[in-house]
Amino acid sequence: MLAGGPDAVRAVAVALPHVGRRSIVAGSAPATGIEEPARRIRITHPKEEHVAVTLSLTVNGKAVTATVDPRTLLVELIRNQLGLTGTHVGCDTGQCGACTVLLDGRAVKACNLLAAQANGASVTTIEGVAAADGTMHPMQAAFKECHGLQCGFCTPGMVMSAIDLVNRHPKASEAAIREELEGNLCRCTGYHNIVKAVQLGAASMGK
Amino acid sequence: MYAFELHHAKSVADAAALLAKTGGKALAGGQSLVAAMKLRLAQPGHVVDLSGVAELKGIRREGDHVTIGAMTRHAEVASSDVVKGAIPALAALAEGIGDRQVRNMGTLGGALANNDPAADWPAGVLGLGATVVTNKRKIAADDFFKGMYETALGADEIIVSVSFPVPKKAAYAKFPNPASRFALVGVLVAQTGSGVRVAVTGAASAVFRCKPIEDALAKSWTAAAAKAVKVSATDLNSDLHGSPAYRAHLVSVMAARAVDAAR
Repeated sequence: MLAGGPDAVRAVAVALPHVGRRSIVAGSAPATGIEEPARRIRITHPKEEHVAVTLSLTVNGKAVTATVDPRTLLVELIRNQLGLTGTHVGCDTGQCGACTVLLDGRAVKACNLLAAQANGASVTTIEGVAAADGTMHPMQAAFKECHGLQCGFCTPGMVMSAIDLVNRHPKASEAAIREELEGNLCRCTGYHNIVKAVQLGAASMGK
Repeated sequence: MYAFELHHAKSVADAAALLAKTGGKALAGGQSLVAAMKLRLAQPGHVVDLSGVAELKGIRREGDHVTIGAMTRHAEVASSDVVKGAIPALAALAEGIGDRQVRNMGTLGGALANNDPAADWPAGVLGLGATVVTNKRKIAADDFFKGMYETALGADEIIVSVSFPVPKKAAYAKFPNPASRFALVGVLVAQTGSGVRVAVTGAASAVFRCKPIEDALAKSWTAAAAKAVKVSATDLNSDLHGSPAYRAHLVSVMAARAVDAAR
């Protein structure tokens, strides 16, 4: 068993790329005493130079063409190249959902997607949900009305997930809303009002 | 993430040729691969994106089988009327994977090729005795899963679809890790044309069939029969979430819950 926390784990993982993360975290020889098989993800020689790719996608209704390093994440394209900083990066490990955007109408975590995976698709960010005249989307208005936010960091992701949710389940129960928001974390733990906001937003979107 | 060269495959043959030529990795939904690349746990020099390959998509009923394309997303399986009608256990399994955003991107084929020891799909495929169809051959589920993150797939072999025989009854019951929603223990029980099958994920280094519970359920298809089986803790996983003995106990408990839910 290794000591030293996640950074140490990562350092070892880089030094020993053939060893799985689980085996590092859990100890190299589990209770079985059987040596773990080597990790089967293929390792090829890392290289730092890249061959850029050109992407065409629609972002908030506008056609966008961008030339990126293939390893660019969708959230990096959105924030750094397109300047749409309403999409937040929280955990950067696909857990917190602050980076949630709609990809062809489906909620996805933009920190766990290559920008290239959105090639040819339509992306909607929090900047794209209000009306052209600035009138808030009914879900945004509901979050304001119900005080469905405290620090506000998770809010863009919450709103995007909520819109996807209501599009699929216009009459979702409170329990279903809580279950559907599984992938969005609020570190202020303001869930109660967030759920109320989604219920109000669902009712407003149905009108 | 280390730099890599990206290729967009246009067909299965194109993807296989690219993988053979570059020695790269296939990218399906990327929900495990992109995360592993960010941590530099995976460092492919070439990535072959399969998202543009139309022949990998879709769900269809073919007689007494349901065939699901490898690039079909978990959410699509969960909401499919075909799957819900023929094998509701599979739709429920898909609906319980990760969270909404993961289900909207992650794919059946990607999950199987990755073969995470705590993933849900391996239990569904092994428990139902499905057949994995690749660009080269058909692989029975019993021969597909080889160990932790290890499968029978060759380097330039791509999963095209998975063919699930419609069972008489089946259900999947999972005790999820409360944070990740990966299975601490997940059990799929099924009455199939070739007898009772019980597949367990999350408990060991890879998905496995639990013969003692299969035998017990073959004699008596009841939750009590499953729960009465004392599963051996030998070779089961040990981590901060549960000891081998705890996981062994959970195998019987989740099998019993699955029997109760089976339809």
